[in-house]
Amino acid sequence: MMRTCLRAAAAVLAGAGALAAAAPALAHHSTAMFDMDHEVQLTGTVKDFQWTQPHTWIDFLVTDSSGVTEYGVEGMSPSYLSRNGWSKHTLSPGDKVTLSIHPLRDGRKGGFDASITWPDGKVMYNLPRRGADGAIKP
Amino acid sequence: MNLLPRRAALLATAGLAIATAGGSAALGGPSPPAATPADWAALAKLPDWTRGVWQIDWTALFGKGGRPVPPSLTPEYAAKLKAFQAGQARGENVQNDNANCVPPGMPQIMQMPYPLEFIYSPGRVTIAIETDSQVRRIYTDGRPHPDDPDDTFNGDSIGHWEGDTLVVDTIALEPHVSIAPGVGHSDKVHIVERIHQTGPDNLEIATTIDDPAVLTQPWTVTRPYLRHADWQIEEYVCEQNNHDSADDKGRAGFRLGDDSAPPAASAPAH
Repeated sequence: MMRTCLRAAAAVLAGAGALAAAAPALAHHSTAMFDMDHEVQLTGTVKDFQWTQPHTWIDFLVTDSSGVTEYGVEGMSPSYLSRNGWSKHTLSPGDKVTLSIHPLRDGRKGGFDASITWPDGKVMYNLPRRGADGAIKP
Repeated sequence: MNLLPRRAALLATAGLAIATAGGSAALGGPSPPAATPADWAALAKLPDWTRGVWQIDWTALFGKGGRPVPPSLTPEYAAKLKAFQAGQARGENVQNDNANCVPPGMPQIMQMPYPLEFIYSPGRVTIAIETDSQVRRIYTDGRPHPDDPDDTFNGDSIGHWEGDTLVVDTIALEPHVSIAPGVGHSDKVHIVERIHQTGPDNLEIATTIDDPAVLTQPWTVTRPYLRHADWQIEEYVCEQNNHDSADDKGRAGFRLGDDSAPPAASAPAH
């Protein structure tokens, strides 16, 4: 299953530009405030996971030598995510994961979640991907 | 969790005022006769659209060929679109009021990336739309449009069946509704949708918009929809936890901050 997902992800990378351009309509708003061309990896701890419309939300704590920084990370809606294997239990406070986010263009600490990687290597995608057959899975 | 955006709050307040002023008077004209058992039985002959939900085909929406043929605009509206696009180069007009939880209205509400549900009842087809928990009521009992309809986001819709095709006629859109990004409409706007099945789990909606003030000729966009028999429409209350916004110039806002803390206790009443 995971292998299939990763293959699909590889197929996605080729079409990533097209998806990024399409992304504005994916949510209830455009993605103008996010850098959809780049992803940034954040490793840290979930402070709160909000399973809410119109977007899920992760308050995320990243610790480095300068201290703890809190990020606000938006995600797809619960209705979309629940049709793609997620639930309100996918993340819980205290979980240690790596988020791959499209960062805010204005430099503030936040962005839009692209995927989550757990320490055991499990990956879950937030944004839609293009499958190996070229179709974009809803 | 978040404060209701001001414009949405104003709309909500306006809605309350209308509801109060309307009292018990029906706004939709004379009440239709009671449905008979034969009316209910006739619904079984309609195309099988009520099983599951229908979502616009994302591959068609976001993939190659996803962009519809652009509308042919009158000089006045071509100039407005040009100004809109010039604003985009300055970071304006990149976010619309849907980010403030204002529904997009017709026709764009039918082209959002979340599913639709068809509900049949005598004299009516109801479309429940997941995006913004919107509902369209399409009266198929033969009534005409009201003489002087109120302008609303989804307009006033009447419909009829031509064989297995549902033909929907919509007028009276709220002035701020756009028929496409940067393209408004006049009070003459008229939308005809032809909805028909193209396969066991495939639906097609051809939407033709006519507006002599805006378009030099009717503009048709055809979109494919796919049935998802095992899905159901989920609740979508946009004000639940919205971090996004658009300002008056359409510039995008994004509210950070920790929403997990409980609200501060209110001061005790004296």
